[in-house]
Amino acid sequence: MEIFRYSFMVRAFWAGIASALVTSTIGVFVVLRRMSMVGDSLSHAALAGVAAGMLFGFYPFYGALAFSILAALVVEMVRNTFKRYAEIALAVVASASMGVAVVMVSLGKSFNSDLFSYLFGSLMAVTEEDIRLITVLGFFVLAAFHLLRRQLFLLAFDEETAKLSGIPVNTVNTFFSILTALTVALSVRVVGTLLVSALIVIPAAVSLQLARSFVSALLISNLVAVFSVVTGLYLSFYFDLAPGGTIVLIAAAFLFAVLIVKRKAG
Amino acid sequence: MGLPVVELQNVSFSYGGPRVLEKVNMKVEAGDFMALIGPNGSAKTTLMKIMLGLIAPDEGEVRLFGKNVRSFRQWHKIAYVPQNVGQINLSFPATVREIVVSGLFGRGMTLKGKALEDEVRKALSTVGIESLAAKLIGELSGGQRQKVLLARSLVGSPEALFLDEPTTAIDAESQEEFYGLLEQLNKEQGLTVVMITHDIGMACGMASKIGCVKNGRVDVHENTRDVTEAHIAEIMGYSIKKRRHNGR
Repeated sequence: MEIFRYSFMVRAFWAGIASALVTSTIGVFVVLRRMSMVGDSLSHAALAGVAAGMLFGFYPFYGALAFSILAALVVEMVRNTFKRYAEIALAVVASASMGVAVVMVSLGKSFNSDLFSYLFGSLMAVTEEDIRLITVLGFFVLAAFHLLRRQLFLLAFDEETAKLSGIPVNTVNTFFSILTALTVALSVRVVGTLLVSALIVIPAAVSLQLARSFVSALLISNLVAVFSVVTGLYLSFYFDLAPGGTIVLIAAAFLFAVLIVKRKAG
Repeated sequence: MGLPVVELQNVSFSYGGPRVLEKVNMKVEAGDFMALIGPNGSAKTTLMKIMLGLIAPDEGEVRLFGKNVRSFRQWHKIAYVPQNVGQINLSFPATVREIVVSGLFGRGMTLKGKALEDEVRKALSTVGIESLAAKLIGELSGGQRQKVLLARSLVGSPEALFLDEPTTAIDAESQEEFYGLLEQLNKEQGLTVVMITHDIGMACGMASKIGCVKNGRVDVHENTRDVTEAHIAEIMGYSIKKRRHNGR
């Protein structure tokens, strides 16, 4: 296929599929734990990290990683303080991160075009270094999920029973937050910080509509995300569209189609 | 007689204000069926959470199977059915089998293959829901969901079962069936049962001990005949006819 003759597109597909697998896996747990906005808050932090990288001259990806992990730890800390109002943590982190990002962008007036590629995702911008980081981090996150899948299932279904089963709930929660932060950071290159949250939530939402078991929920979420990314990248290449937006629109169309068909069916 | 399943010594607790439990001393022995009764807000759930180490008391000591609850790690010996059958996320995409298997997670049990399948089948058949194994939790009635939570707690053959108002969200017929199942597990399999309930009839008819929780105190009656209608009225704050479970 012509599209694969371009090395930047091969890199974009590689990074996109890796991001899709990771976001859609974590997304099922995020949605079931009623923390759908966590991706949004962490992506704001990732944007602040990207801006910091550009302002202080280090690789923006590292900035996104560091800031989103820090934000995840702050979310967990604030969530433990306001146990009954968990969303306070997400709102505080999102607002504070956006404040940091805006101040840094205003200080470094010359990096608007670079910043745009992190905001909305970019096909051309995925470098070999990005690919190496995305592959290593993606593998780490998926392996960690595989190892923790039982604990995370029980935590999502019934946190109190999880505690009584000897699961170190606070430790697993903190680790889960860090994994979510890694997922957000590694996905911003292709999808962009503004839309990564959608790639976490929408495939999981589709899977909740269709799944007949937990295993199938994970599989459906993975398939919807990979399909959306592959189709979105393909369309954005041929029609010169922003990849992040195209990917998210396809996933959203998938969700609405499923909702309409299910409503008509009964 | 072996070590008590649960032992509380001088346990006190408050949520920041007045104490809701004051120097509570009580024991649950192996094979007991203890019903905890008391008016709303009398700290029954708090008491059970303290027994299980989910809440740390301000004072006193809690021992589970002879071990201080803070250092207790024999999770396979205990199981808990929470009060939340009505709050289960009905869109949770898990089958009955997957939920029952999750009862083994984190409890130090590493069953695999046929041993795992046998254990799950045994738990499902004990509560009579083998035919529901492939159903999603959201497709079940309240009574069936409660049985799923019971099956999940029984997988791995615990020695003691703690239940917090397990029948609040289910109809009368399912309640009767559920109580029958608990009685069978207690009498035939020797399972120790500690249950918070508002069903005084069940408590008097089925339990071997009744713990009356009120005003921060727990009075344990080792003979349910001691629990008169006048005493129940005093504890619950309203008059009630003492009836026997299943007409007994």
